[in-house]
Amino acid sequence: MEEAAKKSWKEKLNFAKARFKEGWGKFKALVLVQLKDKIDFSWTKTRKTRIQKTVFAILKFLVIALAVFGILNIVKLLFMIREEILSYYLVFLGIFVVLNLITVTLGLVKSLYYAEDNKVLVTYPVSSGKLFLSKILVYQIFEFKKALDLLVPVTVGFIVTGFFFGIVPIYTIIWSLIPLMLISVVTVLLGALLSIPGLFIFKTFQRLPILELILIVLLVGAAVYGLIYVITLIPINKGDIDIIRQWPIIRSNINSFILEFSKYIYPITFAFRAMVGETGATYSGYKLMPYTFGRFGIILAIAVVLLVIVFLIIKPFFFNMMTKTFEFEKKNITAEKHNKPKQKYVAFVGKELKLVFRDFGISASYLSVYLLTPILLLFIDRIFMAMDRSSTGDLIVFAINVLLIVLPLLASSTVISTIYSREGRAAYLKKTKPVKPYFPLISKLLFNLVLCIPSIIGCGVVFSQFAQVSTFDIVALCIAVIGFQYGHIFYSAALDLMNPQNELYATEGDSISNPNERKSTIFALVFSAAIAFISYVFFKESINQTKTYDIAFIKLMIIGIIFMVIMFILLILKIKAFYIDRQEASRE
Amino acid sequence: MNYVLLAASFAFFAIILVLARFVFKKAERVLEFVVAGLLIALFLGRFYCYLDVQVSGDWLHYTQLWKNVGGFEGASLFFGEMCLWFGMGANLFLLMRPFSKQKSSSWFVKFISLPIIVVSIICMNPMIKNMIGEQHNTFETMKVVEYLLPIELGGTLAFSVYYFVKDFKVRLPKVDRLHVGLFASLGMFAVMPPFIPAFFFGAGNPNTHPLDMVFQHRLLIYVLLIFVPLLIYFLLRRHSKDRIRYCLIFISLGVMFNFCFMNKYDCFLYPWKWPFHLCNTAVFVVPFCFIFKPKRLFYFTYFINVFGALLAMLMPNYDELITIFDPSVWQFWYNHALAFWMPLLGVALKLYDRPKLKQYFYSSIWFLGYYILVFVLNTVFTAYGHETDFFFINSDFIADKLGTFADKVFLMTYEFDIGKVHFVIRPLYQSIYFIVYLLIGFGVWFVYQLGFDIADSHQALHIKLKGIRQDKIALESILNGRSIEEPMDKDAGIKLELEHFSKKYGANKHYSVHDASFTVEAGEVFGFLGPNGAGKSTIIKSLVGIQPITEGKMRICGYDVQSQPVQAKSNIGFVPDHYALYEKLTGREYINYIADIFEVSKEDREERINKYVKLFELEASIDNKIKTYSHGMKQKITIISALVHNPKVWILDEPLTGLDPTSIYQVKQCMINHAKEGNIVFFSSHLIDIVEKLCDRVGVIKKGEIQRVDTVANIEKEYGTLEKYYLSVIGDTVTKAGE
Repeated sequence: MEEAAKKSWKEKLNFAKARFKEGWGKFKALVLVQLKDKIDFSWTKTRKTRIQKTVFAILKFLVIALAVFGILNIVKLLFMIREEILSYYLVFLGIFVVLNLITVTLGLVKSLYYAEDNKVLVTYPVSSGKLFLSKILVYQIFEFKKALDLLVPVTVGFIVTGFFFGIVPIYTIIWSLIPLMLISVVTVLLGALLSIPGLFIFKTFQRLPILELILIVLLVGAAVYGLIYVITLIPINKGDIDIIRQWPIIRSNINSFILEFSKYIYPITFAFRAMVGETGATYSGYKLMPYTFGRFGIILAIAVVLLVIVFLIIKPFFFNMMTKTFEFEKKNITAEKHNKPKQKYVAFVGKELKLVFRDFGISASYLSVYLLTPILLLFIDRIFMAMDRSSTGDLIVFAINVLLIVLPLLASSTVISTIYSREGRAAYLKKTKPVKPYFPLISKLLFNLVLCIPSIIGCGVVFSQFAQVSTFDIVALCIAVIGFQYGHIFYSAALDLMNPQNELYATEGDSISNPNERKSTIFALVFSAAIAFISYVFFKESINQTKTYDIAFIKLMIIGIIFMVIMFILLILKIKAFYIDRQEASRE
Repeated sequence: MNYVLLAASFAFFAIILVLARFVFKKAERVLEFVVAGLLIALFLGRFYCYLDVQVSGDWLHYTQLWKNVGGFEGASLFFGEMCLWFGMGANLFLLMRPFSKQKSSSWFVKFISLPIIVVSIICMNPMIKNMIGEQHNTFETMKVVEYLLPIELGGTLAFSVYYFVKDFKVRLPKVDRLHVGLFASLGMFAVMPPFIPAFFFGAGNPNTHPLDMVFQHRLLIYVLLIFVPLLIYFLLRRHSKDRIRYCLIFISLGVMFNFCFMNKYDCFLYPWKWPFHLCNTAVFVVPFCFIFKPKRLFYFTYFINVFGALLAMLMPNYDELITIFDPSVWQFWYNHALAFWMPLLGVALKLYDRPKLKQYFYSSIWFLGYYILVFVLNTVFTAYGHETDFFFINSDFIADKLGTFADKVFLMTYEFDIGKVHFVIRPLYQSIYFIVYLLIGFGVWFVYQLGFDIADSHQALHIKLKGIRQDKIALESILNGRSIEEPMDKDAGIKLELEHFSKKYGANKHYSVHDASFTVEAGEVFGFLGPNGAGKSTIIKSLVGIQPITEGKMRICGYDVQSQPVQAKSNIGFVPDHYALYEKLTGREYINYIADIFEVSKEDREERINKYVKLFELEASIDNKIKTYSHGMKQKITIISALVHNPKVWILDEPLTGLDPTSIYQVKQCMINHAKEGNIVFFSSHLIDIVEKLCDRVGVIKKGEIQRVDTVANIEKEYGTLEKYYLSVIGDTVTKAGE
């Protein structure tokens, strides 16, 4: 009897072991399959690429940490601080964690409930609990990877600086990373918890897109109002702002603000103490004390509790909520619609406008850039106006103005480098239609081509308020910027045309890393900087030789027009030569 | 006296060359080299003495001498100076001839060297006057010039006449003549002695100095950095490698000789004046590379010199008060322009392969050697009292430009004595200098790659556009004066034709479809069968214009799909294998969008849309967004949009996949009715039963090869059922009926 009971107990244990092993195996497979799908591990295949990747990662890490070290040394000189340097880190950490929490929440809404791979994952023979946990774990691994890219090297930079300043002991550099990782875990778990209301808001927006529009309008409106309010606070008389003379006051105010700010982010301060230790009356700087490890223990406990809460609250709803997002809520339209014919070229434009305006995300991001650029310029120019500038200072300010106009506009048009590919396979069908390809392709650019003009004119008006230049000069500047913007739009469109990514967008959605977007962004940055530099040279030469800026603006205008024309011709020629070839459908 | 010397010299050289040509034939080539060597010596000697006056003397005295003298004498001085300049080019073309087998080399001697030498002989006296000036009694060397020039001219005349006779029958094609002629004109600028601009135009405006990106500075940048290399590139790019090499050697030797003359050969005489400044090194390395083709040395100059020269031209280090026509300005720009664009031209004109990262590493090793050499030379010569600063690593010239920090690093010295000699080195500064330059070299590699990509894309564009132009000409020729709107085959009617169609994807060597030919006539329902990957979709995608045709022809209603795509597509309605719709539009909006493109009238579209919406039972959802549709509904929308313009040829790629039985029936009826109206229905499918019942004829494709195109009735007669035939072809499993 006893033996039978013993056997039964052993059998039970073996059975439980086997089940755990099986469950663990499935869980591991689930995590790996998601990771392999999302991360390119091809670099691990050869020794050469492994070394290259590792060396590059280490170099990147060191460069960031050294940059932070360098910047902090400058900050030390400028702000005359030593111990307070870690308060700056606290502020950085606070802002980073809050922003990261928002990003993580949005990311988890997408990853948990709207991911493309959900449709496949739900068919696997695993429990929804395992599926849920695997998704959280994969996300957490991503977060660690992300932290290694920025948060960890910045932290190391700060702590190393603290060590050189004699604020922290050397071992803090190693210890501080452990609570830091724990902060990342807590952020993800909090994000998972917040993803439920996040999903609710998301679905509400989907059902009532007008709400999303209202929210965007309100946010943009608030941002505009806030900026204009701040702008009105800036003194307007020349010489009111003198950073050198007023520096002691500015420095003192900034230091007070930093110290004050750290009082309002208690949870972050708590975690920060767990990383660097405590300050004391008998010693300067921070030391790891038993209480520090107590703090760490509390954070660890919070993480465990959060994990349990997340698992208990979300797990029961997860499967239901995840599969619901596959369905669309149909809205029956009762009103009878008519079939109105349009001229075929108007039809292309009409279709594009409909698509853009029905995607609030895209249209709102364009609109906010186009709206905020002149306001940002106004803000900067008001500060410059209140400064006592030399003649060279004026030239630099002019060049900065050109940079501030060109850079955000060009940066906003980098998305054009994905414009045709984003249509996925629908783009191929365009080729079956009896029209020259120029019309459908160019009409896709019309929204940006038209909408940037008011923004550029707005920038011109702001610039005219600040600079004592003629109306002709302002018009020339606006034409020049339109030329640069249009040229960049045509360049980006040509990039997409020559290296289409339709198949990737068709299979993987919008989350792909598009090489064309990268190229377009680099081009925008380099080109804007080059234009600002050239502007400075032109302004200097023009004012020296003719006592006016006319020649400089005319030269800029000519460069802008030439750039635009060349890029337009190249785009047209590339469409003519390569549209059919390069945009070839994938092989059956 | 001068002309007596000239005649004697002519006679002397003529006798040698006649003997070489007719008596000592075996030694002809050796004697040519001997004559060339003698003439080179005369040439170098004459210029050495000449420059004693023009450079070592007060060169400003000679600026615009021709203008100041005026009248006939002034004019003769003007032409005399022109002869001095062009004579340099003429001599170089002539003296390169024995070393070159290039046809153009003969042409240069015949049409450039000989005429210039003849004119120079006529202008000999003004040339001498220009060289020795008015103060000739004060210089001993001047008398030498006076004798050397006639001797040199006599020799060069004999030598050029010799080649004129020898190469008399050598001819160049007309286009080549134009190009080499243009190159010769340009080449004259390459050999222009740096004092020539000052002679003709004076010193230049004393108030403007070609520094700090002022107009004059920029003008020099535009011309010597951008315009001239582009001009040379476009002139030479279509010529043979040998000719390109010959031309580049000419330019680089011209600049090298001028460099040597201007320095009065000091660069060879004193070790601390050796040309070890990076760009001075390039003046010798570049011609060496083009003559002897050492690859690694070339890539050293390509990665290291080019960037240094660019920096130097952006921030020239000549005197601040110098004027634009000062000889030192021109020498500076010639040297640096050569160092900048000759290596680039060497690669652009394909004399050297585009370097890979490996070449950068090799060039880094060369650079290390160079750096150690200049470091040692600088340290040793300076220790022995000759201030030496090769590559600017021994002075604060660069440190000054970089600011206080660099200056502080520069001042960190290490000093030691060996015997009585005191040495000073700057370990940190000189190490950082080396590393930074090496990293910049890496950056240069990146920029080159970018440049290559741009060049490749433009070349590809150029080739493609050329092909398109040729296709257009071919089309116009076939149409024979008819409008492009008319079908190529005007008697075709409603017809779909494939004529030896083949298709390859990208750089793939294998054909996805090979040599496919068949015709589908009006009123037919044509089924296209084949396993996955056989080539069905490839043919369909090429027919509808989604992808280009590699070989062969495709015609829709007589219109060529490749050359008349718009006209061909106007007659097609297409249903793809994967519906791909604009999900944010409603079904009605999408269909109307397609109808707009095909310019369907209001009445027709109302009638057709209503008919098909009713037929496919979409009344309740046609005004909802497409993203809310099921797979079948989306497929129906695609079918309606393909039929909204009532196409003459309706092409469907596996249209029945995913449809419910009712919808399949509806689509089948649509296909039958469309064919009955005299149109073509061409579709691919895996559903053999449906194909058998629906089609008049079928085509079977396997591994890109058309196996058979025949009526269903014929196949059934032969094999019993279409399925049996299909399996026998595809799987080799079933034999013919009755066997």
